Amino acid sequence: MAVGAVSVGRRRLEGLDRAAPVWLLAAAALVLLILLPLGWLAYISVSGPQGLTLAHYARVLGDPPLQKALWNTVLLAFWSGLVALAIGAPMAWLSARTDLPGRRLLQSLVMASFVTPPFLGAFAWVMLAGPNAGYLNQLYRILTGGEAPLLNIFSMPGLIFVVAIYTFPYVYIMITNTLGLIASDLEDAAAILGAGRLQVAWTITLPMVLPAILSGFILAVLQALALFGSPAILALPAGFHTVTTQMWSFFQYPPRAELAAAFSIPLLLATALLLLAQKKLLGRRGYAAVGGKGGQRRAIRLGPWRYPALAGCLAVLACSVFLPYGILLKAAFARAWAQPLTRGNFTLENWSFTFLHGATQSAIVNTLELGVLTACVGAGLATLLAYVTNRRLIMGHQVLGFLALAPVVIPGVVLAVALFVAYTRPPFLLYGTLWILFLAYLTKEMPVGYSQADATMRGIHPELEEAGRILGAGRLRVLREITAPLARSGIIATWCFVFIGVIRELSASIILFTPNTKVISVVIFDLKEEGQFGAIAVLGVFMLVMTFATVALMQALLGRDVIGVRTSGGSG
Amino acid sequence: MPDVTITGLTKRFGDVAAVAGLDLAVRPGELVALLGPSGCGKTTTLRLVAGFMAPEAGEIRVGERVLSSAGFVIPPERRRMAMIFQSYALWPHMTVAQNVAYGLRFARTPRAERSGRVDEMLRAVQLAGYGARYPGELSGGQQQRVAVARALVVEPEILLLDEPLSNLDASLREEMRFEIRRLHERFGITTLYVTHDQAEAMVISDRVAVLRGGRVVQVGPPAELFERPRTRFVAEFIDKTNLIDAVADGAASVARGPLRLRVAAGGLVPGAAAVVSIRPHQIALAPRAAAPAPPPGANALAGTVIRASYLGDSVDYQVAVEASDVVLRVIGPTPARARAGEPVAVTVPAEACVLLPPED
Repeated sequence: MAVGAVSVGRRRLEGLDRAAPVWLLAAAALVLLILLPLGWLAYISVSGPQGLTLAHYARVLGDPPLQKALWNTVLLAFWSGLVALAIGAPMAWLSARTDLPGRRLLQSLVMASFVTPPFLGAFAWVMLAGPNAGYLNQLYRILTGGEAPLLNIFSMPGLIFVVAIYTFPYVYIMITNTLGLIASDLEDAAAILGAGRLQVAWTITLPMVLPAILSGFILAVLQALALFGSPAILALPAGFHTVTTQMWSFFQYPPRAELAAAFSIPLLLATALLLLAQKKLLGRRGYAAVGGKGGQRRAIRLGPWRYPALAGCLAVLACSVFLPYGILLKAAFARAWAQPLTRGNFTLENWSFTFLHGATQSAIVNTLELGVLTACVGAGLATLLAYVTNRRLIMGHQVLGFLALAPVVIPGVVLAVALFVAYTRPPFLLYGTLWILFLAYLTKEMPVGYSQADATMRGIHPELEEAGRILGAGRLRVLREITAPLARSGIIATWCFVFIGVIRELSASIILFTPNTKVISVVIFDLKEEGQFGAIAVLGVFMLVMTFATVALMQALLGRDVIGVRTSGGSG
Repeated sequence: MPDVTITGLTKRFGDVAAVAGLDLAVRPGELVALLGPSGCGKTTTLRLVAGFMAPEAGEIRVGERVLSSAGFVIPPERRRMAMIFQSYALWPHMTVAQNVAYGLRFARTPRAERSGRVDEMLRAVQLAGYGARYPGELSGGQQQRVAVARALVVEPEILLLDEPLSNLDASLREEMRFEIRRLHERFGITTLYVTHDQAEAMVISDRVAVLRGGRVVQVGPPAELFERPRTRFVAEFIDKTNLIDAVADGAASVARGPLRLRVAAGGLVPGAAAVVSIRPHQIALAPRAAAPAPPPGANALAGTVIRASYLGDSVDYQVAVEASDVVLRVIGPTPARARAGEPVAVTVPAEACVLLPPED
């Protein structure tokens, strides 16, 4: 009997998956990361001094100024989505299907607008189109001798414009990806049956691209809903609020977290519903049918329209890249940014001020520390989680995949409110440290990191791992010696995506920072209050240089265009 | 070399039982092929033996050691097995030599001996001198050999092969069949070989287990399966055959309408349903005018050629049997004996008419 018991015990031990603790730990980290703050957010929004209450909801939804903020957000999101569609769809078609000159360059410039932090663009546009000193308005006055400004960026149309020129890449990417999958034979098949060119476009091409068009529109709307920086810079001076700026103002002293929590739930629901609609749109049609074998794509000849079309594209890119980058560069080297850059006006003081000043210095250090830390932990955790879900290592692995993608629906401001509520009380007292920012970034970048890691893991045939195991290597050893080297470039890409996302983050940081834990984006926001445009420009240029350096590093390491494959994810 | 005993093995995916109470005994040093159409459970069985999955019921033993049972699975790395995968699963970031040497670390081979063993094995698979290459620099056939070397070099107790030849082109596949058989005879490792190709199974294995619906329906040496299939499914799956649904009308004969056939087995109960399987190449055919007298005891039938297809090394006929709805497929030597529309005499030896149970 005793012998039998021992051998049964040894057998149990022999059969144990020794790597299981690693999987479970990764899963637990994710669950804690996502569910703890969201749970607190929901709880705080319905809890009052006398138990559960709906008073907070009644208050935020019944208050006319708050209703106005909600309505402003709806207006902003809808119109900027529409403008993004109007810009992005034609450009996508031109660059994917026509013989437009300079298509590769166009693509790179669209990607440059894509990675430009929207709040930087908004700053640049303050300098370009502010009613008094705005560069374009000065130019207009000189040219016409008029008194009234041509443009006023501090207005709802101005805000819509600035948001749209940085969200149109979402539409562009969705549509070029789909157009790239539609082979010309599908259109030829209709043409040979007698359909004219317009009929082909109307009956074949458009219906096939329609889901992509709609889902690109939805993605752009989602971005606009979640945006904090641009409304804060452009709407507040104009005297109106959006949901995100309103939530931020709930955190001005004294903080009213319960109101912010109640106000964030409608936003959360709206983004969740929109994302659901987008998934449905993309999921219904058999996109496997698109593509097929030997799909050749012919470029449509634009003829005399080539150059007008190119000019149109360049005009858009002038708004999103050339003009803003130009004014930022100029401001970085000018004593007075609104004056011409003469020898007398040229200075390097902005640079020395920025990099030698204690507050900005520590913000740069904080940002880089957080960027590297979040990218390392995020890429590691995302890779482990993608491994667990792809190889179905633990029960409930489908839930893990869902949880990892769930933060997509959480706007940065909402996430910040949730983290604030969750980590200003025991057992986790993290408010006031860099750790709460780290958690915010980790959560916010998890969907991007996870989808990248998931794609990487899908590309690694499980038999490659099984071949190692049957020869005697345990799971963790296989992960280290076989899977990790094969996933190397994918993991690097994940790291870079997370890093770029972190160094530009504003909407969560603006609520979670404390005087000792400022990051670059927050300092830029502060400097705006002081009117330090030169320093803002320097920090902005620094941020852009870091972003493009990371993209360049990634492309050099991976030897291909990686940004183009990313179609969803957050932005500052 | 140990034996492998599988009893009552069951594995479900959702509501579908991929393997449903499978029994199989593999003798020490034997090569058994698991043969069946896709979805028959052969690959699942192999992966259960490898330990990549846990069974819901049943047991897998190697020698006296239980490797898998319900709720208990020794992980693959502790099974002392080797496996050759359909995709070869060569690690693209390691050289050929590194690929082959990988398993030696876990087989407790002293470091000093490893490179010698690798070279020796590369020679055995005719890849001497390729050690420094990367898998991506090799042809499909060479990659296949590296996979074989990587599996054999660790001297596993059990070798598992999962459709290893299905990614090769036809001529290379034929060559590799003989190669695998040669290596098996040299190393004598107890082997399970999964394939859906009956010709491959016949060439390579000592015994073939035909799987259907997650069970073994018949297991035996290739010749036995071919000549004495026990079910209609096996008869149809192992090469081409003519199947005739009939009714017993004597102890050793069956009838379908006016068509009567003497069959190999005796002891039939008249009136009982029976199925007869006749292999096409066991049927002789000649133009009716020039036909020789049939040997005594053989079934002599009259028919008309519907179609004669020239295949180079043989001629494939379809013959409508006279006064019957039966159409026989006949494979004869070249040159063709008869053309389409020609009346022919057809001779079927009684021992070529194999009786099968009517349903399975």
